[in-house]
Amino acid sequence: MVKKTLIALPAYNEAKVIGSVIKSIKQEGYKDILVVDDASKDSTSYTATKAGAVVIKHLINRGAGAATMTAIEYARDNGYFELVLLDSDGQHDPKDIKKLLKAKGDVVIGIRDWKSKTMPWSRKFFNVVGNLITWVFFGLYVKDSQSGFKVLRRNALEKINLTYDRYEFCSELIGEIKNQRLSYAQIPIKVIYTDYSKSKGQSFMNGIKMVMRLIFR
Amino acid sequence: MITWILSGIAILMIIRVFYNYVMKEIQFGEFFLWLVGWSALLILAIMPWISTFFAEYVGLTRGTDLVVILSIILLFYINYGLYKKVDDQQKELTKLVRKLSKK
Repeated sequence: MVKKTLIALPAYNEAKVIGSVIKSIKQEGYKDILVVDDASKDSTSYTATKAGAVVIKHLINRGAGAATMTAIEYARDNGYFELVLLDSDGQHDPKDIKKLLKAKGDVVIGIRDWKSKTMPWSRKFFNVVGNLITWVFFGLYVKDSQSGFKVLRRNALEKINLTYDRYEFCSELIGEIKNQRLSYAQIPIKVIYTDYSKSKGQSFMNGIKMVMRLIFR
Repeated sequence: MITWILSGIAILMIIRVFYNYVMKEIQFGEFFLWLVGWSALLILAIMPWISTFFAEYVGLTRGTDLVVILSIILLFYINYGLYKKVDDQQKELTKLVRKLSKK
């Protein structure tokens, strides 16, 4: 039996917000929620389980890319038709899930509005650089290569294989769209920037490390 | 002075290589490779004119230049090997963690 939609949240030390994120996803009518806890030191797993999500926990921290690939394998192994990936820090609005699911394509990428006044300049800069790096290394230019809000449909779930464990996986996933000849769509999404979500995600130094890993691999 | 320092290091490393081999910590191939490497350093430290002879043969004027160039190439080669090994182990570790997490 093909199950419909799985919502997956790769998470690391998100106990403060993961409960409310799961609750707001449930309010949108989605029941199958998976949290991949990447060996958090806080009570992320406990809070997520209590909020009603299925939790898979990595024994040691392997990075956002590894956690995302775990979610992909889970969706693949359990016969889901589509997998929605979103950040667990609450920066994505679960109301946008419906919008992304309406779009056609093997992969649907949620595009953050980089003209938005609420988006920190460092994020804008990193997005532009990230898009260029993705284009140089993987040969496909998309409007927001580093977005964590995506939908992967069955065809993509079966073909995508992420080998980068850390944040480089975002660029690698775009490369997989090209290599596996997957169709894709880009849909604008709302991003909620709070002090908490701003403190999470990619820092400038992470960006530098990411480029180094892409070059020297 | 530098002759004594280099010779001392080379002799210490040769003893260590022998020790590692006797204690079965390294295979014969590794033992042989490291023995040749450290012996070469010992020979060059005692008889530096040999490096000049080879340097002139490949078109360099000073023996030291040849030794430095070869050392850099060797270090890059070893570093790449180590990098590849670490990268492969990281991938295997992730696979293992993923497999265990799904149980």
